[in-house]
Amino acid sequence: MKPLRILLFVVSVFLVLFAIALYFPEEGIVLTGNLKLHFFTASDIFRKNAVQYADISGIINRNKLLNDSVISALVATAEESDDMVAFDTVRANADSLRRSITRIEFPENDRAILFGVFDALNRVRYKGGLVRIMHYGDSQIEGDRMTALIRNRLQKKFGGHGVGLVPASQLYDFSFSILQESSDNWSRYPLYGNRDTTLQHSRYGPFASFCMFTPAIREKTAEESSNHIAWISFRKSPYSYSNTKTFSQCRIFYGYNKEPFLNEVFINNQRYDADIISPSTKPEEIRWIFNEPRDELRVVFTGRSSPEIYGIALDPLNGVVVDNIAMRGCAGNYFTSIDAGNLKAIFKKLEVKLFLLQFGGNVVPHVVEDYGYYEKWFYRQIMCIREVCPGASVIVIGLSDMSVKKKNRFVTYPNLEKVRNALKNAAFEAGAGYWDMYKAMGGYNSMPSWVFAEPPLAVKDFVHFSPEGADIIAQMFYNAFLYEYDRYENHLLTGQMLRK
Amino acid sequence: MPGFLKEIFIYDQDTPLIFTRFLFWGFYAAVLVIYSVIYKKKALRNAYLFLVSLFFYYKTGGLFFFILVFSTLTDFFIGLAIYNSKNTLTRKLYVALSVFLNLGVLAFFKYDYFFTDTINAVFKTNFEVVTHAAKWSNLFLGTHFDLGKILPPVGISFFTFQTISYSVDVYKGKVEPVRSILDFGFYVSFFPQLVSGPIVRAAHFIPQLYKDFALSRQEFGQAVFLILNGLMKKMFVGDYIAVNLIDRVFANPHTYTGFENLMALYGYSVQVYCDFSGYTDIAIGIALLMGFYLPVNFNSPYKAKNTGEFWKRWHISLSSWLKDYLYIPMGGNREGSFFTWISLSTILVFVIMLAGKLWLAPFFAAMILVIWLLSRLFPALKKNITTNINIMLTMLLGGLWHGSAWTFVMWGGLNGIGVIVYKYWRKISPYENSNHWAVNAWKIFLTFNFITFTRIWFRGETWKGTMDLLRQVAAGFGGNQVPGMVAAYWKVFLMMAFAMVVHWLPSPVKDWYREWFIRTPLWLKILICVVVVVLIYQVVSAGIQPFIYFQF
Repeated sequence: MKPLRILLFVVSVFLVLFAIALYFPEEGIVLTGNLKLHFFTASDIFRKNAVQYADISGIINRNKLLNDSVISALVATAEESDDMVAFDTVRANADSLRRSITRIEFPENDRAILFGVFDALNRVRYKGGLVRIMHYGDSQIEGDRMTALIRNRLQKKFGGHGVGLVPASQLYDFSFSILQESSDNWSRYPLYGNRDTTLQHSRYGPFASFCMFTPAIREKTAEESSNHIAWISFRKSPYSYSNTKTFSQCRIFYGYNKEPFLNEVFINNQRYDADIISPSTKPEEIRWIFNEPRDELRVVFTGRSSPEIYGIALDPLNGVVVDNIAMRGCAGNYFTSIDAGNLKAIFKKLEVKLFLLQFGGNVVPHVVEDYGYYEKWFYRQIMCIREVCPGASVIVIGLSDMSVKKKNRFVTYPNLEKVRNALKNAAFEAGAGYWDMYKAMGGYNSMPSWVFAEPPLAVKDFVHFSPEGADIIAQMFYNAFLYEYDRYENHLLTGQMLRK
Repeated sequence: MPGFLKEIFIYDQDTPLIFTRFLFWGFYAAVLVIYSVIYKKKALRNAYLFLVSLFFYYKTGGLFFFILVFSTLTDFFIGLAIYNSKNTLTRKLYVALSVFLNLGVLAFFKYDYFFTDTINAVFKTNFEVVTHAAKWSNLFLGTHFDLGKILPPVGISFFTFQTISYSVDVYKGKVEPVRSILDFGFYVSFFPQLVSGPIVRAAHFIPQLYKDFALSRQEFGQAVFLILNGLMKKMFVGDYIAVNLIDRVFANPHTYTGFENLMALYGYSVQVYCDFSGYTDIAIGIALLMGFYLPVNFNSPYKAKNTGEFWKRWHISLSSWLKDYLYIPMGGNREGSFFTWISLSTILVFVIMLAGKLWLAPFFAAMILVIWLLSRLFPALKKNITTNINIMLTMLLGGLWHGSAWTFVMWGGLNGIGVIVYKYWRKISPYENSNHWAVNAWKIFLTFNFITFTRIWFRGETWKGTMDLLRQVAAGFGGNQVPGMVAAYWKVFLMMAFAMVVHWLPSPVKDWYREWFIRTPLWLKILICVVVVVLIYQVVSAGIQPFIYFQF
C-alpha cells in the first residue's frame, strides 16, 4: 500500500467522524431507559474551550508563602494600626498575600463570635488549661485529613499534644493519626446509617454512635452470668505529626452500665491502674493523668454487661486539642436526633470551645430547585449545638467545589452554589462564622485544577482532596483562623495602649 | 502570531501530543501528507521524520527537546569516534564517555532531587533541593511546576537507553555508525516510540533507515488493528478503571476498606498492562503505517507461569536491554565480573542515600567482603552466588530506573527474589514438567498474584501509602461491607473481568479475530474505526463513579 492510500484512509475516518459530529444531537441519543449514546457535536468542535478550569496556581503559591509570623505582620499592616512592626518583604507583597487569605465571614461582620475561643486560647497560652475544638465533617475529613494539619498548627502555636477524641471501635480499622485496635466483640451503634431501630433511646454521644462489648438489647440468658473481656489499644503512628504521637491524659466517656465492670489500663504491658466502676444511669468519665507523656496504651474492660462507651479522649493537660469526627455520606443533620441531655453532659465534660462543622457535599448530588429545606435543617443543627454547649463558638466550613461530567469535561455541579448559600445563610442566622472553602480553592470549576495539579491535590472522584490537597486547604483555613486571632490580639493590645 | 497557529506550533503543557487526543491524529495525518510525497527519497524521508519528531517532542515536552538534541549530537560524534579509533583503550574511553554522558543527563534531570536531598540529609548541608527539570521549565516556559517534585523530561529514560545501546553496539562492532546526523537523529527521536518506548536497538532499527518503503495489505491491516486494539486497551479499559477506582484508592488508601484496596491493586495490574501495552500497540501500529518495524514489547504477560517468564513477556524491550547491557556484561549466569561489583556498589550507594544513614556503608562493605570470601572459600558456590547477585542487581537497577524511591527498590528486590526462588524451586518441583491444565492454571494464578503483590510498591505513591494499603487489607478488610461495595463498583469490576478474560483467551482465538479484521475490506475497516471511537467516547464521557456510602 502507498502512503497516499493510508492518508486517505485516515482522512476518511476523520470525515465520517466529523459528519457524525455535525448531526449528533447535543443531548445525546437515548438507547434504552437511562442509557444514552454521547458524541462530539458541532458545538464542541466550533465553540472552543467552552469549559475552562480555574487557574489555581496563584492561590496555592501565595498560601505557601504564608506562615504565622507573616500573618501576624499582615494584620499589623492592616487598617487598624500603622505603627506596629511590619516586615518590608511582607509589606511589599501584603496586598497580594492578604487577598490570598479567604477570610472567615461573620453575620453582620460581628467578629466577636470568635472572641470566646480566642479568650480561651490566650488563657491556654499564658496560664495553661485545655481548649477543645471539635471538627465535625463528612468524608472530606475522613482519616484525619484536614483536621491533622489544623491540629498540628494550633498545637504548635498554642501548645498541646494528643489526637483528641476517638471512638472505642472504628467502622473498620483505618489508620488514624494514631494506630488503634480493638477486640472483635465491640459493636457500634450508629445513629446515622445502619441504625439499630430496636434501641429504646438515642444516647449516641458526640460521635453520633456509641460502642458496647455486649449487645445493647439482649435476652436474659445464662450467658449474662459470665464475664466478657474487651480491649482497645493505642499506639503511635509512624506517620503522624510528632505532637499527635503522645498524650498526657486519657479520659473514657461512658454511662448507663447496669452492672459494675472492671476497668484496667496497661502501659508497655504493665498494669498501670485498675478500678471497679459502679453502675450508673448517666454519662460518666474515667480519667487518668500521666506523670509523663505516653505514646502507647491499652484499656481493658471486664464485665457481665457493657457500659455505653461514647468516646476516649487522648489529650494534653495544657494546650489545644482538635477532634476529628468524620461521617461519610452525612449532610450534618443529626445533632438534633441525639439525646440532648446526654450530649450536653458529655460536651460539658469535654469543655468544647469551638465547633467546626464541615458539611454540604452530600447534599449536592440531590438536585432540587430550592435548598431552603437544607438551610432550615442546618440552622436547627447549629442552634442545637449552641443549646447543648452554651458558650462555644461555631464556624461552618462550606463545601468544596465538586464536578460533574459534561461529556468529556468536568464542570461544577449547577446547584453547588445554591447549597453553599443555604449553608452560609443557616450559619449567619444561627450566629456562626462561615468559611467559604469553595471560594478559597478557586471557585467555579476549580476542582479539576486541583485534580490535574502536579502533584494531584484532589482525587479523581472530583470531590475529595488528596493528602497534599487536604493539607493545603487546611492550611488555608488555619491562615484565616489565625488572621482573625491576630486581629483580636491586635485589638487587645491597641485597647491596652489606648487605656495607658 | 495568530491564536490558532500558536495553538498548533507552540508548546502548551495542557495540550501535549499524545496518542489519546484528536490533536495527535491531526498531527499524524498532517505528517502523512508530506510523507506520501517524499517517501521514496530515503535521505529526505529520514530528515523529514527527524524534523517532525523534534516538533512532536517539543509539543510534548517543551524546551526539553534541547536535551534530546544534546544526546543526539554527542552520541552521533562519539559513535563515529569509536568506529574510527584503532586504539582499544581510546575506544573504551569513548564508550565510557557515552555511558557517562547519557547516565549523567539522566541523573541530572531524573535523580537530581533525590541526590541533593540525600546529601543534605546525610551531611547536614543546605543545598537547594529542586528538580532542575521543573526549574528549567518554569524559567523558560512560564510553567508553575512544583520544584519539590520529580518531573523528568518526557521519555528521557527511553532515549538515553537507546543512545547507550548505540554506542555499545558500535563499540562491539554489531553495527556500523550512522554517517548522517539526520539519519541518526531520526533513529533516536522517531516519534511513535520516543515517549514511552519500545526501546529500539540500533542494530534492529538502523538498517531500516536505508530500506525502501514497503507495506503489504496484511501489514496495513495489522497496523490498524494494533492501533484500535491499543486505543481500546488504554482508553476503554485502563483509563476507566484508573479514574473510577485505582487513582482514588491509591491517593488515600487509609480511607478505603481492605477489600477496596485489594480490588484497586488487582485493578492496577489490569490497568498498567492495558495502559502500557495499549500505548505500545499504538506506537507499533503508527510506525508500521510509515513502513518501520518496532519490536514487540508485550506478549500476554499474565499468561506467564513464573516470574522469570513474566519478564520475558513484559516490557520486553527493557528486559532484553537490561539483559544485554547489564546482566550479561556483569557475567550473567556464568560468573561475576568487575562490572558486577560496580553495579553492586551503585545499588548500595543508592540504598545508603535513600536511608540517609552513613553507618550502613561499613555494614555493606562487610557484607560484600563476606560474599567475596564465601565465593573464594567454596568455589562450588561461587557460580550460584554471582549469578544470583547478577539477577538481583539487574532487577534492583531496573527498579531504580523507574524512580529513586524505596518503593522501587522494594519492587525490584521482590521481583529479583521471585526469579531466584523459582530458579531453585523448579529443580525440586514435581510439577515442573507437567502440562496438566490445572497445574498450568495454578502457576499462572500464582505468578499473576505475586506480580500484583509486588505492584503495591510500584504504584504506591509513598512508603506510608504502601503500608496503609497492607494494613487495611490485613486489619480493616471490611468483609461485611463486600456486598455493598460490589453493588457500587460493579461496572468497574466487570470491566476488570472483561479485560482479564480477553487477555487469557487462547492465542488461536486472538489470531482468528485479528486475521478476520485484516481481511475486511477498507470501507468496513473505516466503519470499525468509527465504531471504536464512538465506543471509547462513551467511556470517556461516562459519569464519574460516585463515592460509595456505606454505614459510616
